[in-house]
Amino acid sequence: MSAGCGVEAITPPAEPIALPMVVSDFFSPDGFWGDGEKRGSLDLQRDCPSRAAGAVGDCYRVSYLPGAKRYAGINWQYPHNNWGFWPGRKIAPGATKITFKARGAKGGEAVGFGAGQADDMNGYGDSFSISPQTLQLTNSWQSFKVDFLGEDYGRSPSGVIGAFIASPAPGEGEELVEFFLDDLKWER
Amino acid sequence: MSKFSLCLLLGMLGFSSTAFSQEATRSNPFACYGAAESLVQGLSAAQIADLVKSRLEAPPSATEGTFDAANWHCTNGELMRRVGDTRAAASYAKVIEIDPQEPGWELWYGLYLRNTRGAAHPLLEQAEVHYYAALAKLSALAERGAEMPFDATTKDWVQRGLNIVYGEAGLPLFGRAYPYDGGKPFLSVAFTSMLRTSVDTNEAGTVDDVRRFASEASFSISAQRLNRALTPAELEGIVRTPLRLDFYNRLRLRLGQLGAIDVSYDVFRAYKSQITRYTEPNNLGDVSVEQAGLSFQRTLDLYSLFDLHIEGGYRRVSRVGVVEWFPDLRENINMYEAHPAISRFLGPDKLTVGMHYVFMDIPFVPGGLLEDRFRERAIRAFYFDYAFYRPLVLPDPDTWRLRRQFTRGVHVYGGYAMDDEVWGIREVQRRDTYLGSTFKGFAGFDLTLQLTTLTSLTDITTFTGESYVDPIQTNKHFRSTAILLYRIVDEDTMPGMPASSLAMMNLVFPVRADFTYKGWNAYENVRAGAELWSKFVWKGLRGTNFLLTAGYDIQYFHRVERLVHMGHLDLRMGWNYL
Repeated sequence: MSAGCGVEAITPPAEPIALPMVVSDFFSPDGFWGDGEKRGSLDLQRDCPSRAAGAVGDCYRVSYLPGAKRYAGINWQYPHNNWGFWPGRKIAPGATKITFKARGAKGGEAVGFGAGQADDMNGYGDSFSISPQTLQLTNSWQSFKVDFLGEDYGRSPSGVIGAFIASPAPGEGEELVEFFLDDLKWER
Repeated sequence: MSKFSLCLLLGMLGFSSTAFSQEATRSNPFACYGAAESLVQGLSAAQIADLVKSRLEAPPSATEGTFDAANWHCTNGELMRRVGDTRAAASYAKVIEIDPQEPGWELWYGLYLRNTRGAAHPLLEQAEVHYYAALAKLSALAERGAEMPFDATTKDWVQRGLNIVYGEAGLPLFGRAYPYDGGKPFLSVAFTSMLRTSVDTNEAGTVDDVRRFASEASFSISAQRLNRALTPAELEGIVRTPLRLDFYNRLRLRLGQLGAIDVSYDVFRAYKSQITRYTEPNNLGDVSVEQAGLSFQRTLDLYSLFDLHIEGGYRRVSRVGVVEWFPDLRENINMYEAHPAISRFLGPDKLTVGMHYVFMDIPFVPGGLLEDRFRERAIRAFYFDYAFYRPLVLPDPDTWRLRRQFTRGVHVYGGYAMDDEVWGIREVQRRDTYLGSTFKGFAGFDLTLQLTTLTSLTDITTFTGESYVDPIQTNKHFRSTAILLYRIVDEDTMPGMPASSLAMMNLVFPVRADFTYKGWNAYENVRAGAELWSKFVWKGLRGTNFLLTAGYDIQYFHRVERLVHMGHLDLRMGWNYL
């Protein structure tokens, strides 16, 4: 966006954001919690070795080496790293589910998926909360969905802060949990 | 009297008697320089200008011989040159018109165009016309058996002049090669190759370590990333001296009077140099850059206005490792650049004003938030250099008595650079302001003192289109620099081709200190070093110029208690910048 011989920053996308919404276009996987609060245990990269067929948005590789807390997760937040300090993003009403494709590195990985960041102790919070539902992955791409189950994400005047949650469940031992996540969308 | 002047006078005196005894019709053209040199001894610039005026009011009579008339105009040219009077060009031209057979007059005109005129670069195309004309006239005299002993000196100096103007082009592959026989070629091709290695806090050509480290730390700390303070280990870990390798190759084409056309290819590697994600500021990745370039440059004589240097080009840049979160992402960038400059004499002094403009058309990042993907960068830098060439009253380096003498220039220079880079809704604005002075050539020393401010702020645009400056990501620094240079082998005192291949050797001691006056101050530091700059001219390899530069520096970041040792070694056959 050149201004004369210089440069000019762009303006963020207009709101409310229309549906279907590609989550990675508008929310960022910045909110690491549990063992993810310290470096080295929970990692996310945007470098899947292969994409799911017809997928849009970013593809993520998530790896979790269980630490002392033995639980961890990542919230897809807006703006970056928003733990309720700032308002979120307004999304058009009518979304009923979050759809995505996922696979494990080996197969058999258990991962919880949910949405919402309702805690408003820092000033702002979502008006909905979908607790992570644990799903079992295979080593090939599969389609999944998380239903809103009547949760109203539009009630908060500050919009949506946490659009998605992924929380790998550790096994009994210290085994690495690695899985891939693609084609993440909010849909009617 | 400078060593250069002494050399000239000895040359003149040594050859003049022989000249008169062998051929009465040809006298020594070096008399012109010697006469001017003796006339200006102890005079101020205004007195020299008055001398020029009085000489022009009393021209030689028509009965005077060819040499005397030519020498009178040549002496005028030499006097004018010393006070920035650009009528010197007309005087030199008049000399050649009066005495068209003498090669030495062409030498003086060529020397004037190479050494005195030009804007940041010599008037190469004009100078080489006269240098080659001198060589052609020398050949003609040799064919007629009319050579004089001073002709060998003329030839040596002409060859040296050409060697200097073509030095940066490197190895001559075709045309325009030492000893420059056979007339001025229409086409020439030369090959430049440079290998640079360093272990340093800065990449070659950049100096902003204090600002860069502070900006990296503050972005990590910001709400957009960690939203917490960094640990002492994280702060210290941001200071890094990666191994960098740079291999640059260029073909330079010269076509007649058109100028220089360069085709270049550059490969750059920096190992463990780039923060791959600012949520982990000590997680470093490799950077690789390849650049293919096409550029053009030419310096033009537009007097009575000014001399103009035009330079512009295009580079296709392919790089990996620079985009956060995407350490393997290859970016293909279109880069456009222009580097114009103008120079004009103001009395005896010379003012040069120029700019650098670089625009990088960077492709969108393929992932992440939509508002983070857009990328662009533009650098606009303006500079000036005011060179005092007037004779100054200074201590004589030999006797320490005060006397008026010419120097190699006292330069006062400054500049302002705006480097704006956009990451989507964030625009990082870096600003450099500097003011300095260099005193050149006193008893073999150059002394440079410079003050610099380095600032950075991040402007963030909200969805309403309004923007605000993130106070956490604002930092401002002040730098003071002193550089002492000592000429062990002084190139400027060698008007002819160097007797040995070593043409220049300088010992350089740079010292600087950085203070932070706003924002993150963890990277305040002091730095000192020693460097050896040397230049070799290999006559047996068609007069190819080589530069060998080696240096060692030490830098201490006292707030994070980090001491780093640095070194660099550069081997260059020709060069594209110094």
